[in-house]
Amino acid sequence: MLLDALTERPRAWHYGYDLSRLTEMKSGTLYPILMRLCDRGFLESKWQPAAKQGRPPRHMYRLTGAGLVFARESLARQPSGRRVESPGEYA
Amino acid sequence: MSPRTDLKSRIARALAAHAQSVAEPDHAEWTTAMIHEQEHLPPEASALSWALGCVFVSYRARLRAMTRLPDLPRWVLLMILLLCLGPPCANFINVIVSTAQGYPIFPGSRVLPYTVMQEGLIFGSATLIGPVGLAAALWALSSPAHRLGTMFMVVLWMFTAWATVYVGVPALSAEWRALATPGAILTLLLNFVLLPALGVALLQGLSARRRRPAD
Repeated sequence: MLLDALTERPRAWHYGYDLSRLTEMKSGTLYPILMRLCDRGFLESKWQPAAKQGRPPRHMYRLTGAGLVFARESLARQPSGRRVESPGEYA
Repeated sequence: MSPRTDLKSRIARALAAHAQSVAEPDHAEWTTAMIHEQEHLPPEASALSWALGCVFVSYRARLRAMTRLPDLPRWVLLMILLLCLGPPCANFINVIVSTAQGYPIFPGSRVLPYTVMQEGLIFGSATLIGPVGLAAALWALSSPAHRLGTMFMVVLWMFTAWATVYVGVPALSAEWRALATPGAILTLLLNFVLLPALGVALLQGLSARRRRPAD
């Protein structure tokens, strides 16, 4: 489900809460997966300054090229696998 | 903001602060990311649930760091696991052979108020961790792709707990201490409880190191 959410708009950056809401995963489940994806180079992250003053910056995530390939292969292996944009479309 | 909501919010912030304090240095950025995200949750989202997730992730990372095995060569790991699980394995064989022949496991020292068969069942099950653990160790070390599953590790820990309850705890009782020498009790604890527990802890570390990266 997470890969589904991340590949929905592969070029877009996603907030942790948005991914949690889309995948219906609790933060304690979602973040370890994000960490592992990052460790393997499948996900990139960046800090974004908060839009509202006084709020802390937010961490954002999106798939890397390798991550998109990985996601595409993983989703294709699923019985209800769906087509994901090619890595070329990501660049 | 109602007093109830205010209380929940304060608890959530306290939990987040706790998560930050126990965070593993390697994962500090991720903990910060989670805590910062908590500050951006919309009103309908549960900050308390999010903060509990932060605490869970911090403790999980801390536990992983504590149980992480250094990068030892496979043969060294095998030697250590043989050292830990070999004695209980030998004990298991001894228990099975003795019980099958109708001999007491501890001839000459009738410390235990059990029949030979009861003794065999108790010590046989308490030493089962030896052959099972050793087989698991050989399988896990035979290929980097082999990883012991979570349920299997739970079973191994249950065997260890069983040995602790049925051998370790009684061995420390006053009755046993009155009838057996401290050296004999220490040997019993080492062979039946401490070494198997260390072996299972090593297998746990090996299993954690080989965890699959993502689903």
